[in-house]
Amino acid sequence: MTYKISGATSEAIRIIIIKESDWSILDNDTYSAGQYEIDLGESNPGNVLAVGRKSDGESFMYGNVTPVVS
Amino acid sequence: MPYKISGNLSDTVRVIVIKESDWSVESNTTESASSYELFVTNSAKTVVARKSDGESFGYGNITPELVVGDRGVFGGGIITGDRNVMDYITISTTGNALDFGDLTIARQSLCAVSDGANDRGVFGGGHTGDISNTIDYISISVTANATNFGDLTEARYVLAGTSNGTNDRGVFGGGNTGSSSNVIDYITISTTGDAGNFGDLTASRYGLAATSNGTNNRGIFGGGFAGSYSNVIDYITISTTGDAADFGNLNAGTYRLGSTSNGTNDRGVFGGGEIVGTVLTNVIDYITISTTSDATDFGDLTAARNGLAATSNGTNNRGVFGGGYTGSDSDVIDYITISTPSNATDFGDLIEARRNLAATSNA
Repeated sequence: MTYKISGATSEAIRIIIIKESDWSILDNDTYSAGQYEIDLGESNPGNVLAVGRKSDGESFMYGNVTPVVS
Repeated sequence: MPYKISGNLSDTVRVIVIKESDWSVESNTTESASSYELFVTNSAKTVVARKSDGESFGYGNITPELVVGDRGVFGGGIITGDRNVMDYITISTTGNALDFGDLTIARQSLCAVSDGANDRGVFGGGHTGDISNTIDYISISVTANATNFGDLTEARYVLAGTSNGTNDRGVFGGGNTGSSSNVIDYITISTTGDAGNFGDLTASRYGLAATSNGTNNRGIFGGGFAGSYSNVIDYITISTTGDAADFGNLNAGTYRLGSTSNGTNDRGVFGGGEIVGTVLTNVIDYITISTTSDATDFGDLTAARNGLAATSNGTNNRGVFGGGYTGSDSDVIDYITISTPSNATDFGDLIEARRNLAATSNA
């Protein structure tokens, strides 16, 4: 059983996943345009803040994101 | 830290500052709905703000803003004996000085430099009963006693110092070694150690003053005495070792004067001192640091005096002159708006009256 966040991006971006229980960085990687799937491991991280940052600095983000179990 | 990220918030949010060099979290704080200010390191950041309901906003590629300091420190001097006292002021706010701490060695006729917003102040040379080669330093924003830094290339007093601000080089020029000196030596302000040879002034002299246009890199030495009162102004490029070149002349040959500037805004001022006939002067004159020429009249200090010290809050434009000798030792601090020629105004008092002190700031 692993916890994941997945979606699609129209541009290459860096996605930073921040654990909302202690505001530490859980994952930080770059993704090409298209589908992405981020494996957050087998422990439930709780809600996370997901930040997408384009190479020019433009960023978008969502809090209270609940990873899905697969 | 001299760099910050600031802004205004309409809601209470958690602000997470991510360092883009390694994508680590540099700070993580809750900020109320109002203006906020976060002190950070000098590198690009992604800043994320998250409301309690999860709604979030943020930006990457954020360059922190350099915080121009506002603390001036006066150190050393003489009353009936050499002094180790340091006192400080908030330059933008008139009022009396407060105790800062003690120099490593009580001494007079020293000089001071700083690396500006990077917050290190350095005092060099002076007279302790003997002629001193001592260099000691402080963190300007933190009241405490000074710590040993290293030694000048030659012991001397009534020397002058300036720096290229956050570019980190301090220079010490002229002074009295037993005879008048033309030596300029330099330090890297952020790194303790002995001074290295820089070059020579155009004329040996002591009791001169120095200032600079900060990171624009021009250092100026003006006035002094070497058998006669000197009106010489000479200049150096602080980042490049070499001899000084002629800049122009002060309005009068002047000894034991003070000098400061509004940093990269390019105006240097010289105030007070003693002129021919051992007459104390209240004259302030100014130069445009990037343009060689003679000095122009600016206005008058509140009282004629020599052995005073000057500093400023840089581009925030306030210059202060403190202490000196008016016929008796002075505790007067007065100030000017450097961009606007006019007479000085009372600022407040030093914690003790003294002359032959030095001053610097974290601007």
